[in-house]
Amino acid sequence: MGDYDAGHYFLTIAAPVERTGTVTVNGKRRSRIDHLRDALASLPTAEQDEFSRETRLNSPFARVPGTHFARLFVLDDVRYNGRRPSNPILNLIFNVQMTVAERVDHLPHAYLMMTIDFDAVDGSDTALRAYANDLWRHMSDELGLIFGHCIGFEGVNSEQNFFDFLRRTQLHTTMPFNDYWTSAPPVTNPLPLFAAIAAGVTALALAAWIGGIWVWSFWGLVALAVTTVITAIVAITVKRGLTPFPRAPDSDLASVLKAAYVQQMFVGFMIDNLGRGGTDLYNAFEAFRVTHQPANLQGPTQPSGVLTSKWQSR
Amino acid sequence: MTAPLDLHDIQGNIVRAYGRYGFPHARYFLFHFDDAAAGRKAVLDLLPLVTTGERWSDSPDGPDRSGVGRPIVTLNLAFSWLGLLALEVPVATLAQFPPEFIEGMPARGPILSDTGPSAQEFWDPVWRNAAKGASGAAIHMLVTLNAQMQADATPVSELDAMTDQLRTLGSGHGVRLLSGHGQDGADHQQACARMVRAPDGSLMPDAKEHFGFEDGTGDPVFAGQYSLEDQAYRVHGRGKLMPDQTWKPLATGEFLMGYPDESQELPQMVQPPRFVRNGTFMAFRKLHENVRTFDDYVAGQSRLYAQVNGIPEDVANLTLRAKMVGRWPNGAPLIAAPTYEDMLRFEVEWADIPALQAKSGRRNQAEDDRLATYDRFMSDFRFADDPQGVRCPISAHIRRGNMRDMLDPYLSASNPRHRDGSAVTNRRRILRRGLPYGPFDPPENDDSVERGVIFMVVCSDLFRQFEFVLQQWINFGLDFSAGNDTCPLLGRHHAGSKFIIQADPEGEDTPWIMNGLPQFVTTRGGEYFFVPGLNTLSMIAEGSVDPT
Repeated sequence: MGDYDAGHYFLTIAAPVERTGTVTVNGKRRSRIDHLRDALASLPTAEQDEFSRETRLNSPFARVPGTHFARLFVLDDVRYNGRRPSNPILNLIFNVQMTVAERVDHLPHAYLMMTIDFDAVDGSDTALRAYANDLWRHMSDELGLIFGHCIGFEGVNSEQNFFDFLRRTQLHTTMPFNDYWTSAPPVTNPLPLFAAIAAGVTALALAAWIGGIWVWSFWGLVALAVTTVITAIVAITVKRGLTPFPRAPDSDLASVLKAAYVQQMFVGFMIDNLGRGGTDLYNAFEAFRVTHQPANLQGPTQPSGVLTSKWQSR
Repeated sequence: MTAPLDLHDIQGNIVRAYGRYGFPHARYFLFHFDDAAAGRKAVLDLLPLVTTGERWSDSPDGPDRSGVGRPIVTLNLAFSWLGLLALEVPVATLAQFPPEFIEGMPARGPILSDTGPSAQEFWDPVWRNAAKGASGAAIHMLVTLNAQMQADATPVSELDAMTDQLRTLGSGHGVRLLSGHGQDGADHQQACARMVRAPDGSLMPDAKEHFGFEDGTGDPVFAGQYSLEDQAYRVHGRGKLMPDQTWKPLATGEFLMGYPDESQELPQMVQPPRFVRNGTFMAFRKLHENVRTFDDYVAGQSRLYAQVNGIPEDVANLTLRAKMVGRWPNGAPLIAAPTYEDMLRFEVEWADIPALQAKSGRRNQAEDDRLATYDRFMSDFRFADDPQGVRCPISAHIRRGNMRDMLDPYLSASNPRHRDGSAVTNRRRILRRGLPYGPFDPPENDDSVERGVIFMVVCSDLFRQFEFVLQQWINFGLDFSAGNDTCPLLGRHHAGSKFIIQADPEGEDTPWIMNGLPQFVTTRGGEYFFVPGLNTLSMIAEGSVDPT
């Protein structure tokens, strides 16, 4: 849980990079991390504004179906937050010398981090495998250029061993960012169940006491009953917390792109038909419906990685 | 509890918009310092002339009963970051100023949408040369003069005298008045309110800009700005809306440095903190208005709108103008007067107001009360009363400039305790100063006529307030679900830019779209300035700023 929620897989990859690694550029040895960062910086982004639009380049992830967001960065190390706070009285008692630097934690390597939100039916390895295959199929060149700097990527040359590489380097996320539910998801209220458990346990305890089955102290019985109820409530809450939300309506990428497309085309339709009514308007709308096929995800739609549907015709 | 402000240490243009206080004429001068000592001497020479924020007894708009009389001509000073550097304010102090002020307005072009027809290559020479970094062209000091007028509406003669004094500032040594304003390369920028005939036949200024709209009506009110008596009526619709739906003045720190702001903390300070106290920042912008394009575009749109709605074209024309702005050209807010008929009633009901506003000499209590009531009608409204933009479109200019309570996430909560009022927008307010420039009703109604508005924004954080409002609310629309639509009047328009007029979902009308908006307003120059308090001016002039 965490890797999957509401119809989306939240993939987090941490691929180790040798901190002291080098690459040879024009006969000179250069930092591998510097080289990797440069490769990331020169990887085109999706269209973000009028300036990135002018480049006419697009992110390779735009070629991979179902990709909502993809982000790559290099993590050098854990950030040092300064000396841990300590109690001055305890320091005095245990003779802690504040002037002597405390141990600073480090990660064993630098890491190339990759986070991707993509459409998936569930959080299974099969779902991840399907997406990994698409990644490899659509952008193995770019993946090779980037992940080629990572430890353990040697020999990755097929869908199968790319998937294995992802599985080895995957981190399980605990906090997916998912904002596709625009209203509260349909979740049943657990309070009646909690009440029923409390009532049932109380009834059992009373029966045990009255029936003489419980031979120890009354307060022991109360403690047992209360503990049982709390444990059950916590267990149910945790279980429900680990259960993914159902897929939000129309939250897959194809639907999102189609919606963006239809919205834009409909504004054009409105402008073209300002002030019209009756049969004229009806016929115009019928033509709009036939041309743009609002309900057909396979029909005309907005390409991924761009801001507007107009871009193609510019 | 608000501590009273030391108004004599605060420059007068921060606490009041001179145009509304009987100063319809303005001149703006830009200086370059070639020599630090000469520059400081010039500041020292001007210091006694600086108009402070003291209250006036004879102000036609909200007189103060205890203060002194108005000056004939006001004078105020402001410095760019480069100007402070040229005056040798210590780098330890200057390094702590915010980056947008250090960079200056030209470098912020992409954020301010000073691109396309607003790009620096089209700016007036004086602004363009500075933006290009031409040698000796950097703008260091802004001096603003505002003048009262004579009976024939021309400026008082003291304005010319003061102008001559500024022309000889520094006696030609180390201080240069920069030329290159407008089409004739003048040595200052002129500005003047529109003049109209009062009922008694005399000429009086009004607050309309060249597109024909009343401007500057909803300026914010901050704590300490007005006497408590004035504040009590001005605060309605201009201050901040509290959860219980009452109005309170905004925190002083939003517009003056050295005071707590709306986040209940002190805005950025420098060493010594005294340097910025009672000072603030000003964004100066010269905005050209393409009046011909605007008139033609609205006329073209009105034809179809009139035809479809079965109304006369002149009514359609006025209605579309009002929808774009959110106020009728006479200033009546659409929230309070949504229909053309409401607007006509407004004209009749408040016909006596222009004469009252222009009245020289003291008004009686009944007249003051009448003006206060009018003032509330003009400003005291909430967008909670029109959440779908049926009366005032969501994307209209006044909704974009100040969203009031519209971003309250609990806007529809019936229990006031659950509401947030204008909390989300309280840190995005700006004071607007300035006047129109160029001729009203020139012989040729043409875009090339040199006319527009001198737009001066006063706030204590240019990035958080001015730049945010311009970038996110004027030139974008996500915060109010208007996508990437921009302000129909002031916004940067691209091919296919549009403005949507919402219709009542319960009614028969369909929404209307004004399509293919051309560029109505373009930037012709601008810079960021620091407006110091009087004591800081002294320190700058003496070269005694001590950051240690």
